[in-house]
Amino acid sequence: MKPKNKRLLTLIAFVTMTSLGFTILLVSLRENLIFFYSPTEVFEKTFDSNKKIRVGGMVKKKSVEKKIKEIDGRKLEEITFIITDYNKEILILYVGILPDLFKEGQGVVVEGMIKNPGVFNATNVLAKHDENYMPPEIKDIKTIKENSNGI
Amino acid sequence: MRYFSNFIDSGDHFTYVCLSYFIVFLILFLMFFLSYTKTKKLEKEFTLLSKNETKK
Amino acid sequence: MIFKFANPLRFQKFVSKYQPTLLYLSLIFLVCGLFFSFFNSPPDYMQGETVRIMYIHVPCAWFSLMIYSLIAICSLFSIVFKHTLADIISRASAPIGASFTLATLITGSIWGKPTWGTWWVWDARLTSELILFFIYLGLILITTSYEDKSKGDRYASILAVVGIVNLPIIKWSVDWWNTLHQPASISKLSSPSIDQSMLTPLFIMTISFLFFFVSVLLMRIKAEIIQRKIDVIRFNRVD
Repeated sequence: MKPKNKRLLTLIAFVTMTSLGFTILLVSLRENLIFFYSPTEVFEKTFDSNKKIRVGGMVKKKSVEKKIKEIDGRKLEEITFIITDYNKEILILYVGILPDLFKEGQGVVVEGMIKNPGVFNATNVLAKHDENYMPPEIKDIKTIKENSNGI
Repeated sequence: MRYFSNFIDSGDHFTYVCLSYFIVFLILFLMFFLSYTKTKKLEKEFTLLSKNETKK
Repeated sequence: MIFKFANPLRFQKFVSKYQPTLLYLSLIFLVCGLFFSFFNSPPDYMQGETVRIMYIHVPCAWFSLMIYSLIAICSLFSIVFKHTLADIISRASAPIGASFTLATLITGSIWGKPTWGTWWVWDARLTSELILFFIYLGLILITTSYEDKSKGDRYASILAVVGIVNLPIIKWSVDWWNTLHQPASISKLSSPSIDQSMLTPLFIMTISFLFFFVSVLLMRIKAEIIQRKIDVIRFNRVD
């Protein structure tokens, strides 16, 4: 065999082996690689109430409630809202400042712990934005269309 | 123009956008500048060396 | 075609002739792109004005991946055929790729703060892009630290080949795992979900960056060829 062909064969074998190895590694590490769980997954699994987890989904429309609360003499906003993946829902409790992009009907990822059953105490709220980019005017036209179709 | 004036008035967002553009152009300019000076330096060195070679 | 440019002397002439033109083209497109991205594109319906970061963040990210693909192809070529030109191209591209990756990471971070509410998270997309940056650094370190250039090139090409696995991970991380980073907008099978008025600055910026990359790459390749010639002269003199 020519040395060139030998090198080519070795290379192909090497690349196949490494990609195979990495695929196995990534599949087995899936649990650690996902950034957040969906509400459905949270209900399926049991989590330690002291372990921080992240839950992501859509903020359910008309579920956001804000109350001003005094903690240690400071006025803070206590926010409750529901995260849904259109299958299961989780009630979130959060005290703090929300990111600008936080809106009803938009994606969100919250970090925190499940203290009482059914309530998620969030320590951190991250807004997730979708892959659609368009000027506000077009968005208005689209929502009007959607609404008229809905009725 | 309307877009631009709104953009300038956007406060925080204006700062974030300008900062990111500035950093990108700084990085790319540095990349260009370093490559350019390296090439010039090597060209000079090479002409000097080849001159000496032909003298011998 | 390739073999015409494989002649170093002809290549150097080619570079001296066209490299400045490419740079000017890049600047013209840059001015155009800046005009479109600041004056002639609307704010986003969700993110408002910060959407303008996309026009530089996305091209930088594309080039960070594309330059790595170029290095990977050259490395495969170099391992099998031992062609010096492939080594020279990899060597010349690595620092440019590293700068684009760094630019992607920094602009992404600045974009993340106003939109997500955080500078950095360890989600799959961001982490794999950071790994890409470290691979680039590794390549630069290996190629510069060996006295014997062919040895450095060999080890660097092995690293580059191993690093190929990172490319599909970066590309599809947003589809394989739940990430904070949003999914791809352009390469969706359906029509791209970016409005035409926002696609224009994005593409003009991409073309500008492309010209910039090719121009700097040619310059660096030229520098690398001269460096090798100098090395040969020095080596002969010692004899």
